Amino acid sequence: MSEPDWSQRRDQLTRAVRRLGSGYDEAMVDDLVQQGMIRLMRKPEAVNASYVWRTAWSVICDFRRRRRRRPEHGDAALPFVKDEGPSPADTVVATDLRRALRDCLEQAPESRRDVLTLYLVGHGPTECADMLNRTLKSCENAVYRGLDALRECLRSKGVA
Amino acid sequence: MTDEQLKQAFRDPAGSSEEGCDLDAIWAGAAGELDDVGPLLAHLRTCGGCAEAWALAREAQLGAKADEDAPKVHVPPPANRSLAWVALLAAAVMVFVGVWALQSPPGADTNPPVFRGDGDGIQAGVGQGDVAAGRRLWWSPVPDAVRYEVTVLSPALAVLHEARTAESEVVVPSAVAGGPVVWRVTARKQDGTAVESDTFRAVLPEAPR
Repeated sequence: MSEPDWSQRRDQLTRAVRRLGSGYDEAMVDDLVQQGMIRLMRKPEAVNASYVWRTAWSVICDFRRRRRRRPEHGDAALPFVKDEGPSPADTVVATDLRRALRDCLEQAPESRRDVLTLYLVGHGPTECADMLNRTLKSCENAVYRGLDALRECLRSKGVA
Repeated sequence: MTDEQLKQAFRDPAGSSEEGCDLDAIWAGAAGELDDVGPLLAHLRTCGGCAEAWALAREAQLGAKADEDAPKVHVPPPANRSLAWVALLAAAVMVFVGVWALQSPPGADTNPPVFRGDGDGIQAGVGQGDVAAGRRLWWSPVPDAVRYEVTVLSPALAVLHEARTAESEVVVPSAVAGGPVVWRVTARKQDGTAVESDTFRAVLPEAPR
């Protein structure tokens, strides 16, 4: 099997990291690309476009999880520097909203719950229908009605 | 709260423990490769970190697909160019006939309305001929309704236009671009009850200038 064109793969990986990690500075992108290249070179036989994107995704997921557990980068790692991130109050509000959203979703009828979950992570009704073996129409209705009910539920909890 | 704000809140990893996050399963789930995705979706509802990873996986899969599709753009060799010209000419004729059909029938308004829906509840009216009428959405009146609330959305479910009216029709304003939309109506009655329509599809023509 021929060796992958590593220069081309590096360009592709850089593009993928930039797109998935929007907002990262160039130094951060370089670091992540370097980590990704190491993973790609461990499995040269598997390298294709899909694998490159998956590698970019896994590098970014690992980085975010690591940072959440133990901040190593940015102002969060330097408590004496002015913190421009979300304030503790903002974080509490975000956590409350997330919790309320979860409760409202759990209250939703079963027929809507999975469709709404897929919609909230970025899938449109057509994809929902494919993934859940449902008709497009039932998924469209579940999204429309479900979002209305979700907003109403959040309002009733005072978080929307 | 907009759809985007809801999505952002759902994918907020703040406060999630991230226990039980299996990245391989998330990748397979986002790619539609799991037979039963239900348990994983139940986990996403409790874990913003996994929801964020799933949303990113989907974006990565779309990016990979775009990359894989990109080299397949095919330029016909010179021998096939005449065939390409014939296809282009045929397409131009079809576009011309389509435009003519849209603009020509002055008597189209006299055609009886065609109702769409499952026959139960509010039904949508379609079948108007001219361009202006094409931006008019209308439906079967509901007895005792005092108000109708209409929502027009893009196929990706972004709200494009909302209106309240006492009539059983609205004209979609010119601010909404032409193209495919979906729409629905809720009829409010005097006693406070509501009747909801199905979700209907329509293709809006560009607004006349």
